[in-house]
Order: sequence, then C-alpha cells, then structure tokens
Amino acid sequence: MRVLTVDDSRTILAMLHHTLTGAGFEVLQAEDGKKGLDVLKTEDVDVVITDINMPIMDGIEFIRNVRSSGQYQSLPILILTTETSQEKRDLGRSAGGTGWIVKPFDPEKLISVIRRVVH
Amino acid sequence: MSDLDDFKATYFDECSELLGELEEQFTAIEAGERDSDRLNAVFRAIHSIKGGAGAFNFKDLVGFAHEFETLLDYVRNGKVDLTDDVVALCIRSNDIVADFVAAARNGEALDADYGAEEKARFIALSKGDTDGDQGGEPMEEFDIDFTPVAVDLDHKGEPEAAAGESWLLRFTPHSELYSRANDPLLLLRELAELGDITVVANLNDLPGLVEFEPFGVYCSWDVQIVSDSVTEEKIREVFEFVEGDCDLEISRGTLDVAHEDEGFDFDGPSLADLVAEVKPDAVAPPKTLSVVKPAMMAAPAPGEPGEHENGGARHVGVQSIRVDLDKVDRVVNMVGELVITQSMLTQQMDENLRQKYQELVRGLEVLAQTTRGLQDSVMAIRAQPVKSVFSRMPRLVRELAGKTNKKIKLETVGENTEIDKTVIEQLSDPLTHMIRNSADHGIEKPEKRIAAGKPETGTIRLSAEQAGGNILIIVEDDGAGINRERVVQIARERGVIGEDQQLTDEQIDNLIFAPGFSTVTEVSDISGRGVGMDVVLSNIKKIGGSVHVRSWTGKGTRMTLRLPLTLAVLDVMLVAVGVCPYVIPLSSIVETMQTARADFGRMPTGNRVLQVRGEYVQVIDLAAQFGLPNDTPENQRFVVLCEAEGTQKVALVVDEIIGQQQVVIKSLEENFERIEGIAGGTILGDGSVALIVDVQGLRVHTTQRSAA
Repeated sequence: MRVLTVDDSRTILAMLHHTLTGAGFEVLQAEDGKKGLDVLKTEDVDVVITDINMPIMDGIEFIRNVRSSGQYQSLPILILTTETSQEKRDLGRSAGGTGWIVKPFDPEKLISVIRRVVH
Repeated sequence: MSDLDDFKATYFDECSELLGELEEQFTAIEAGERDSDRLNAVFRAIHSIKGGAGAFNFKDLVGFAHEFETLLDYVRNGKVDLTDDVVALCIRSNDIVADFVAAARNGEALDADYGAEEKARFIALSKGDTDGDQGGEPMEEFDIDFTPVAVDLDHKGEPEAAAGESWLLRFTPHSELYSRANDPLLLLRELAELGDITVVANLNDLPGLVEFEPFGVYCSWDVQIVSDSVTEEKIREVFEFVEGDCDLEISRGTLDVAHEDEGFDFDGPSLADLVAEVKPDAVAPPKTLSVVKPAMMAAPAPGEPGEHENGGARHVGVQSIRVDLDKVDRVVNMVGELVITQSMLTQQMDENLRQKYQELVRGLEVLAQTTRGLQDSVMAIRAQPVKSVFSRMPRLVRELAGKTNKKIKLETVGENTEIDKTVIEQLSDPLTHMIRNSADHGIEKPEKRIAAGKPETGTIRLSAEQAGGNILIIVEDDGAGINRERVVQIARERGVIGEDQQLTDEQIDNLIFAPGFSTVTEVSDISGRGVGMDVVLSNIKKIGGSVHVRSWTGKGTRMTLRLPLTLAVLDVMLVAVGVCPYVIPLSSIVETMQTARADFGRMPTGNRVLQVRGEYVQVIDLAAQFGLPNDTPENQRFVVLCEAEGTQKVALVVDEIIGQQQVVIKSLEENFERIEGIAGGTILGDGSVALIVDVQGLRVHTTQRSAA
C-alpha cells in the first residue's frame, strides 16, 4: 500500500515515515499541498495523509483540488490535525476529507485509522 | 530509543529554522509589514513547533505555544488588532518559545511560572476580543452538518450489555459519505471486529436500470452485533468519520428475520452483472454490492508488498536530497584540482602553440568555460544564504538595547548572499561579537545622541555582498566612532605598541583587533566576556578571511569582514626558496619588494628587522628557517611583507616570486604530521608538491626560538 504524506514539518514527515514503513507501507512525501498535487499527477497512491496548516497550498485547498479531479473522488484522504476541537476537522471534511488523525498520533491508532479508510 | 532521538534531533533542527523564520517575520512585522502572508507564516511556525512538541510531550512548550498560537490565529483572522503592544508581546514571546525549545533540547526545566505573564496576556487578549466562552480555542465560522441520530432512549444509559447482548443498527449512507471516499464495506468490516455480526443489505430503493445512476446512493444496511463487550460508544466510534454523512440508528435488539428476507427480495440478474453489462470496460466487476470500486483503487491489494522492492519508502516529489558533506567536499576538491589543471594547461599555451593547434585552443577555451561553470555549480551546493546567521541578530540587538538602555535598530541588507556552509558556521561568533561591540561601544545613549543632533535611535547596519571572489560582510553603526586617544593610551599601557610608535588613524582603529586589547576597563556584561575583538580576527583568519575597521569620529564605525567564497581553493603567491616551491596565502600578503630596495636594520639582540614606514618588522629568512641551501645573491632576493594576527607584520625573505595562482589545500596533519610554520600542502600543476607557509605560526615559532 502506498501512502502519500503531506506536511510542512520534517519532524512529522519523519515520524509518519517511520511508523508507516514499519507497518510495511510505502511512503511518498510532499512538503505542501502543491507538491502533494504534483506527486498525485505521476503517482498512484492508496491513501493520503495531509496536514492542514501549510505554506503555499494548505491542506483544505489541497483536498478540494484532489476531490475536484474526477480521478481521485474515491481516494481516501486523512487530515492530520493538532486541533482536538471539531472545527478543523469539519472544515477538512467539508472540503472532502475522509477522516482525521489527531497529532500527536499514536502509531497503532494511525495504522488502524488507515485500515478504516483503505481496503 | 534511538529512533526517538533521531526524531528529536530532526525536530530541534526544524525548530531552529522555524525560530529563525519567526525572528525574521516579526522583524518585518515590527517594521510595519503586516500583510496576511507574514501573519500566516508566524502562525504556521508556532503551530509546527507546538505540533512537534506535542509528539515528544514537552508540556511547557505545548502549553505556551498553544496560547501563543491561539492569539496569532485571532490576529490573522482580524479578531485581535495587531497593535504595537501586541507585536512587542509576540516578539518577547518568540524569545520565550526559543527558551522553552532550548530547555527541552537540554532536558532542563524552566521555572514553573516562566512565560506565565505573557501566557496570561494571550488568554486575556484572545478572550477579550471574543465572547470569552471559547475556552481559548480558535473560533471559526463553519458549518457543522451534524444530523441528529435517533436513539432508542429506553436503552440509553443502561449498564454495559451482558454476555451475548445483541445490538442492532441501521446504517443509511448519504452521498456525502461516498464523496469523501469513505467506504461502507470498511465500516462493516470494522464492526465485525467488535463481535459477531450479521449484515443485511437493504436494496428496496434500487431503481430500475433506466433510472439507475452509477454513483447514486441506494443501499442501506441493517447490522446485528452480538458481543459481550460492545457499547454504543464503541459502535459510534466506528462511524466517527462519517457522522453527519449517514443516518445511524442504534438500538438493542435482534435482526428481524422477516426483514432479512425482505432484504434479499431482489429478482433478476445481480446488480454487478447489470453494471458489467452496461459499462464493461469502465468498471471492474465489483466483488460486493456495497461499493463500486474505481479502477485506480484496484491497483495493489492490501497487505500485498508494493511493486517496489523492500517495501521501503520511495520519496517522490521531494525537491531536495540530503548528501553527506564529505561527499560534496570530495567533489569540491576534485573540481578544484580540475580548475587548477585547466588553468595550468591554458598557461602552457604560448603563441607558437596557439598558431599551430587552433582546434586545441578552441577545445581548451570550452574546457575553461565548462570547468568554471562546474566550479560555480559545485560551490553553490555548499553555499547557503547568510540569512541563517543574520536572522539571529535582531534578537541580539534587542537584548543589547535592553541591557544598555539604548535605542538601537538593526538593518540587514543582502541576506540572500550565499557563502560556503563552513564559513557560515564560523561566522556566527565573530558577527555576534562585532554587533555587541557596536551596541556597547559604538552607539551612544539616547541623551547623548540627541545632544549630538543625531536621531535618538541608533542604527546598526548589517550587510553582505559579493565582491569578486570574496564576500564582504559589513557591520556599520552610526555611533560615536572609535576613541583613538584612548585606544592609543591603552595599547601603550598594555605593550601592544611601542611608546613612541607613530600610527595612522586607520592603524589605530585596527588596534582593537590586537591580541589582549580591550578598551573597557571593567569587563562589561555585553562585549566583555573575557575575550576581546582579537577573537573575531583569529576566527576570521581561520576561515581565510580578514577584518578591517574604519571609524569616523562622531559619525560611526564600519567593520568589514572579507571572506573567501570557498575554503577549498586558496589564492596564493607562489615563491621559490632554494629550489623548493612554497606558497603564501594571498590574503595575508601586504606587499612585496626587492631586497635591494628594502631598509633592513638590526635590533640590539642581533635580530634582523625591516623598517617599513617607521615601523620595525621582524624578518624571517625562509631559506634559513627551513634549512634550505640557497645561492641567490642577497640583493637579488625578495621580501614578502605579510600581516600575521592582529596588526603584527612579518617580513619573509624568499629567493624568487613566481606568480599568483589558486591551489587546493591538502592537510599535512591528515597525510603526514603537523609541522611548525607550515599550514598545509598542495600539488602544483606540474605535479610537484609545494608547502603552504603558515605566517602566524612561523612568527610565533621564531619568536619562541629567539626568546629561548
């Protein structure tokens, strides 16, 4: 399974990478939404994990862009958020986000959340 | 755990960058540039610092950063006015965040109330401008499309189900559920993990084929879960992501068998067959009715190893790679050799050869161009903008202004100028020292400035520019200038200069870099710290640079650092001593002259000295020094006047001056052993080895010897 991780924080990317490769996933990385879209142009992925607050293109716009392309209407997109409050999630969901992961994430929970949205 | 340590290291690296960015952005914001890009950037930076801190459980940092972030969120959304007061609070808080990060890095704890005052102000500001009922959480307009769910109230709040308790739920997805890429099949599978489940698809709403829309929503499911541990909460958790995107009825009960029959009351061919019949190519035959799998999702099956070996990560779309610096250095060195070989080849082409081999000449010209391009590109790999060092200075200046009760503003120019990474790393200390010096000794107190008819706020200007093969870093202040009388007086007292030595203004100014010289009698908290400006000079010399100071009484002081673009290639003067070639770094050479025209004298000790413009300079005959035979008549030799540390000069006597060129430095220590007076070796174009003269080392060495 291939996972695209989109986050402007190297720390988060590194931790996601560690956890996901540890679970046997293949990990692709991008530092902002725009770069994430670039990756999707050439690569097939099974699930996307994206941060919300990013420079150049934030996660919300990234999700909208992905969803607006017919090809990716059923690509699961998980939102990474530090907010425990509802609003960021709902913003992300109304843009087309499939689910969310609250940072700091627990590795097991991360994997189980991915399993919840990907076959 | 080493993984965790690695992540921490990454995090702290990232924090340094983010803090630098914050510093830069706030400096611009302070200067009045309050556009939304900047406000978003500072919000993001604090947000990222907080995010990572949460992962490592740095509670103090998270606590402070959270309130700071909340305030910044209000500010960027225009809910809190960005007054000068708030900007000042933010800048102060930035420093506090930096302290929290440093404490976390060093594993120290700060005082429990550290930053409490600022934190309280964040909360007050955030609350004051809102209804105050948000508990400090950012408030945003958004539409919660929450659909109330019918719940069997009779069962709600009952103790946990007894063994084998049966739950019943009816799950009716809305189209939004599918448009957000959620999949009922996965939800049902997850339910299966809670207990024994029986699922019945309700297909009553399926339209006839004519009205059937491929992406229409027609199915709902009834699920019976039998388990001894399941709770309504656990069931709802499974549907966490689809809350609002489906109708969900949860109750206690068992599946009605009649209902089950109804569910299967579907006559005729299966939907899958129908779909396949209608669009044989577009849609793969679905395994289940629940979801039509689009082609792209069908790629690798779950659990299957990826199509790439090792199942390892493949970074795509990442625009940079990390390379071991050693590898880059090897390339830099080889390119250096290439440049030298190329220039040697070009030099070998005399007029005769040029006429004879025109094709070769053209080829060499192309080679020269390509080599230069290659050198520039390789240097660019190691080069970094000076911004990374410059961005630390605004904070320093603020601190200094506070401690000295002066008003000082810092202007930076040319922060995108790029210099070799090693040079940048060595730049921070000298620069800090120079700015401290400017703030402490240069800029006057506000009263004094006003009395002198100057603006109350002093300016320190920090600039970087490329000038030929050098980078100039200039620290300039509009302060009082160097007090030359005092400098001379102290230099005499401390024996830095002789009693009757006459110096030009420029020479006096540069005395501040002389070893053991400090114009402050008591060591001040700011510039003092036990070391003088001589440290600046020795640091800069180490990286092949030079420092120069110019001062204008009452108008200010300008200190110029001249740094090499790269450390790998050295500009040298090639000389001959006896039959051996030696090279002297060009940066340390002041002038050269023929011995016939030099004014030698003898000290009472018998040591030979050279008199240059009223100054006596120690003379070192390299042939004698290195024990080399030489038969060049004394009056046909040359003197190379070099500047050693500080303003100390030394005159080297050599047999011949061959010319200037670039060489690649080879370490003697690594390849042979350390030799006094020799800084390293190099290989010349013709393959012979030349030693690099260490002017400072030579001077110390001979001084010690003559003293012994």
